[in-house]
Amino acid sequence: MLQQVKAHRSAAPFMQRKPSARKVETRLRVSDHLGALALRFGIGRNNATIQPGLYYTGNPGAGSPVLVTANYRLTVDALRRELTGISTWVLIIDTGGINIWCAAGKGTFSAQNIANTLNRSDLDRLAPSAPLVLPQLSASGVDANELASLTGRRILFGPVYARDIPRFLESGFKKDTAMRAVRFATPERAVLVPVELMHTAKLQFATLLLSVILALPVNTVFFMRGLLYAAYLEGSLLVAIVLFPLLLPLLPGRFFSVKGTVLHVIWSAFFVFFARQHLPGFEFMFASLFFLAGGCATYLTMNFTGSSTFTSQRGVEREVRKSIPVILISSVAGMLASATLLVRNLIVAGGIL
Amino acid sequence: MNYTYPENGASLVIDAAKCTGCGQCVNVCPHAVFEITNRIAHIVRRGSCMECGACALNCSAGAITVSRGVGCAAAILNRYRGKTGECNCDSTLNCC
Repeated sequence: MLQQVKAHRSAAPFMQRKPSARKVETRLRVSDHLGALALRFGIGRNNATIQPGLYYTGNPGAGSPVLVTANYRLTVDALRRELTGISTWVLIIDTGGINIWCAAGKGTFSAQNIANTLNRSDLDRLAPSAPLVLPQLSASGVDANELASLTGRRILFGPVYARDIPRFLESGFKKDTAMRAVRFATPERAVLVPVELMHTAKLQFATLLLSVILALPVNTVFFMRGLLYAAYLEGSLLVAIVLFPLLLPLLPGRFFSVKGTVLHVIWSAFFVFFARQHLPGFEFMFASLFFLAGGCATYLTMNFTGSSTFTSQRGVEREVRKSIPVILISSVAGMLASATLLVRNLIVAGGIL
Repeated sequence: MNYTYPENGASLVIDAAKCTGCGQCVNVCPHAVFEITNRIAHIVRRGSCMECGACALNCSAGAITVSRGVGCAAAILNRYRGKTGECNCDSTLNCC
């Protein structure tokens, strides 16, 4: 049966007839790398899916393992780049372009969906008894016993990361402790920064606009005020978006909102220290902005729970319940105070008082 | 890296009478919460448990229970505001 596939390929490399299994390139092209980079910035998100179905690498036989994965482009890229020189079947499940862990949580990467995709494919003809190797992180959505009874196959949870797959396959499906552990070290946290920068682009732009408005009226200190406010407010956002994920394990506190507040206070102290000779005359406005920016920054850091890999739902519920009132009061008070100061500045400039 | 978080693993329970010591919970847990000692699974790092539910779903003896959920502030706020419990993240990088 494999012969058929192989003969098929060599006879007609550009065949248009529907193949029973499509070949996966194990080497990423420049365009793949560029596409991945764009996706890291949230660009091209609507075009990040791979056609589901059965694929293969190398020359798989009836007994070659079947690697099951999601149809998110970055997921498939991460897998296929590890498969150079390895012969496997690759079964791609339609998760709507969502990664494994999230798709398992949402229920799209499930025993039923895998069985359906498998039944629509030619796998039962090409490799009737080959074992299915699932990514470990799919275990929160896939009941291996259910999948075994649906497909009649041996089901294995492989390593968390695709880079461990060659070792996992070579060792006869042996997993060590490191292969089971999800990582959330600096690289895993840093990769979250670009897309968060893009998501908050509007907020950052609004911040610049607000800085200019608060610096009114236009007079000799307008430029100085505007620069000072913009530097502080924009800095507060960047600290929350960029520094927070990087410094996460070093920050004191258990709630993300507490860690975020600590970081905001440290940043504000730094700012006051370095801008101290420019601050006289702006103290009240600066104090108002401290609370306004603090509320926003803390909200951003609290949202980071969703990107982290270790927060339980009930813990986050408690964090949200306790933090939201503080965040709201701080932001609203800061906003009202800065608006009042702006009005006062305008009135003073208008010569009414 | 050993991260912990409030309420982590609070709902995780093993019924020692049902546990067969097969080790599937150890195999699927991404945070090394379980260890098998004396042919029974034990919770050794409860504070690392994010309650993803992988162990309970894949325990063929039905010995593990955990209330499964997504620890995402955006999803929780959406739910409080009467929307779906999803984070509605368009980016799968910053999701769940």
